[in-house]
Amino acid sequence: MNEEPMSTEWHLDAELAGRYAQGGVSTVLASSVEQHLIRCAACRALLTPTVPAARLDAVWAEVLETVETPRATLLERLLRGVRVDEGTARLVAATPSLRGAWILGVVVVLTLAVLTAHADGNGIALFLALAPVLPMAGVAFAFGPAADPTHEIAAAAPYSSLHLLAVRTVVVVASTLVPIGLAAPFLPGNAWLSVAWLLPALALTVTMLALATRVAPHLAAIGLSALWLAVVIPGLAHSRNALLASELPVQLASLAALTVSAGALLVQRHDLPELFRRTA
Amino acid sequence: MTLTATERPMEEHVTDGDLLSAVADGSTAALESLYRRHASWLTVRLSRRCADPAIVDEVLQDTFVAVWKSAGRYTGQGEPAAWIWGIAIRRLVDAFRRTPPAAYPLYDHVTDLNLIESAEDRVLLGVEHGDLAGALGRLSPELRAVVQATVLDGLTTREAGRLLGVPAGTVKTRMMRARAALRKELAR
Ligand SMILES: [Zn+2]
Repeated sequence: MNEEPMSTEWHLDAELAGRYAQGGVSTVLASSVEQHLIRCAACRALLTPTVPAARLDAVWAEVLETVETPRATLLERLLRGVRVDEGTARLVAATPSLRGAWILGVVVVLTLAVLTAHADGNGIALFLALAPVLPMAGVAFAFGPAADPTHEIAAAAPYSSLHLLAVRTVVVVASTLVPIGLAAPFLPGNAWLSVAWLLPALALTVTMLALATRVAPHLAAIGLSALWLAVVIPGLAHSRNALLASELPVQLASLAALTVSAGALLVQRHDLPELFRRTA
Repeated sequence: MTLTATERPMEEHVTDGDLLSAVADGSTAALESLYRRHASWLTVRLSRRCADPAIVDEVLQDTFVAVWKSAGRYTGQGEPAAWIWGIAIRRLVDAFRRTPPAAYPLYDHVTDLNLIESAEDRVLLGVEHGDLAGALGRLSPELRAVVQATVLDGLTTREAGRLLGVPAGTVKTRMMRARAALRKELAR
């Protein structure tokens, strides 16, 4: 063994490497071996045969799995906790509209609307104008271009596009309806006003989805929002009919739009993969 | 992050520093190359400080997951091997904090005194001349363990305390006694 003290040419040989690996050298020699290993790749390589390859492969497999699996979000873990299957849980959890910022935004908008409604007679009209737009915006956001780090998962998941669409839409609409539903009873005025937004909300959402087989979801959502606001805002501005959104014609028109769009969506369901190709 | 699952591990001539910056850019292939180069000696060195192979494997895994996450923080200064070891020894300290081992079979007996000491060890110990190897070898096992954990493994007194299963204050006093003993030995 070539062991001249202080020599910079000092290296391990296979015998010393083996002895070190088996714990057969003193602490002091081990220390110098370890100091040398930090600086010498050739001597580090001498230790490769001393650890079983199968052991290292097993650890590597664990490392790879950990670094390639996106960390499960709180929502995903909650869903898994109530026995939602893994694929659906990931699908739901990865929906952008379900991130805290969106929900928080909805809550802030609604709180402001309710407060305004109490401060000012027109406030309730503002609430009725805004509430129907929110679920649609959430769904559009769920499929929009900003959306999807999970499109690979979506493509690989054993779900049809229709299943994906249904799961996401239902979850997003539900997650938006809950805060709106909670805010509505705090509105001044009669009980009808606190549910008048529901039908237009569903109509806008389904119409947006029907249009999304032709144009990008966020464009459909912007167009429909503009149209909806163009119908209800004039009433707000002139306060001649501030509660237009709750009036029968608007409700009937909403019902008609809902029916037509749902039918169209059903007919066009084979075009739905288009929707995902465009947004993914 | 780009998909790298199908890429093959990197070539021989690529340096560890290159691999670390590729890892920082999200290459799992670079991470695998790094793992293939360093896993063996890390396993051996960790095994000298922890008798339980299951804990060693867990620490090795944690180490490379940490390398994956923090490769961007490697500054390019110093040996990548030293940087990775710095992560590994701290992961071992963490593992001991989670599940304290029954005994600390650390830094065991001394029979062989062929120390090829480095200049920086001498600077860290505050000793300049003489037979450092011999002097270290004559320290009591408790004092030598503290020197190893702090000077050679680069741990803080608190971390060394966790690794050795003694309070940080004890590490400090033992280190003072070790330095004094070494100076006295080397002054003879
Ligand atoms: Zn060497």
